[in-house]
Amino acid sequence: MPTILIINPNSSRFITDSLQEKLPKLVAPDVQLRFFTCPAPGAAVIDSITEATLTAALVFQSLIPQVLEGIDAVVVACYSPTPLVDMIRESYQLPCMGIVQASVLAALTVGQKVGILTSTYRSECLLYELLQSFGIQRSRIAAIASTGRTVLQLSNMDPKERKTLLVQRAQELVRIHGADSICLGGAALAAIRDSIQEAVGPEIPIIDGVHAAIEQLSGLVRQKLTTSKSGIYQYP
Amino acid sequence: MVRILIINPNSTGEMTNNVKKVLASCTPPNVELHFLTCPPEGPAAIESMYDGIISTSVVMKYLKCHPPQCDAFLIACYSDHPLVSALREAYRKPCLGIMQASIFMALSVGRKVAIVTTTNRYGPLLTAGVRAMGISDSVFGGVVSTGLTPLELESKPHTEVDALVQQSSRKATQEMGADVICLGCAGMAHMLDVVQQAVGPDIPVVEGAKAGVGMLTCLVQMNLFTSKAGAYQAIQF
Repeated sequence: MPTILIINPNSSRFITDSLQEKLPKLVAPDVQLRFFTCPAPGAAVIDSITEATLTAALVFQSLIPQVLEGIDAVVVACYSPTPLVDMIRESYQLPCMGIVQASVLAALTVGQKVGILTSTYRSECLLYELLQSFGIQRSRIAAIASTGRTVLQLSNMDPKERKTLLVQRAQELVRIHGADSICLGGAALAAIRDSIQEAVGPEIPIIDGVHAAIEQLSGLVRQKLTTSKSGIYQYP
Repeated sequence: MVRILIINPNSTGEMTNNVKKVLASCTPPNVELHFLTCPPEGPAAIESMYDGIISTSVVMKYLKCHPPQCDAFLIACYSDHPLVSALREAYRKPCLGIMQASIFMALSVGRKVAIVTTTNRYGPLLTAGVRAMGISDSVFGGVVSTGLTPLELESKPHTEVDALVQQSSRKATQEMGADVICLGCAGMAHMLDVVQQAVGPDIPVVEGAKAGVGMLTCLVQMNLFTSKAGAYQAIQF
């Protein structure tokens, strides 16, 4: 009975609530889910290295034994690079996955060239390096595309205009960059999944990183695989 | 009910049984496993690219006449087996080889994976295989060959086989700096404890068939399918 903790490393409760509402119906029947949101002051959105680092520290310090009691594995549900995954892998033995890695690994089992759709221009830049750190060859990434905007600009955009822009980027990933699968980079993208599928057509699998992480971690738990305590992930 | 068809592309029934035994303990309740051994015209073991190609032809011909009733395919040969690509082209259902499954699962629990395998030829074959799945050398420690053939894993005395496998496993962690090990042959599926004993409790050891079931269960649960754009566009089959 894999029990998976989903950490929302930003402090936007409404995102955790929406995950809590939709995920239990989607996951394998033997999987149990628990949820944790970054406490205040946190950050409403994680976009910058600074926000990622400060929230990672805050979440990590809040991971007291009670939070992890009965938990078999942890998802860090942030589609921006965050040190939190490695911090948990270092300090604990239970498996931990970020949703970026989970989504790209799943994508590379159903296609050869993954397209990643994300919200902000900054995350576009940061994600190439993150994928490199996972050992994903650059040639396997069709492209990482975003709205080209900052968090602030996005929040001031008309939602319909934002959606149209993202859908257009999704189509470009397939038609111009040769993506044969698309990873949804974060909650805002997951919300418009149906529109993206309609736009790119039924040949293109679309991957949600949170679900991918939950199922892959469940697979690890069923095999009794845990994080290496040698090399980079030795106990600090 | 998720139905996974596990295909052994070599014609050695005992190897299929070996894999079946190993999978009994970690299959989720909503997953049903079915097994197919390559018909007898196929090679007894896959030891070369030639064997891989011949076995693909034999299995695909068989499947054309016996349409598979399953939701996903797992190819139980630790190699960059051409059957994986062929099935990805022929079907929409997800298809995965145990090698890719094990490497991907390994990279979820460690940062440097090494493979312990059979023959010396598998050194360059598996190295090419890791690159073919889109993984770069920065997270790959390399391959250590025991020098045994897949069939010798069963036919030679167990003490000799265990000693060679353990020696290779220690080399993988101590000399190649691996923090996670993959068992590099379907015929090694039952040897997880032997390897674990050699490398100690800090090093996770990944067995490919279990990793494959884990990964395919993920894909089916997510309603993912093989892309019909790009490399895996549909073929006439």
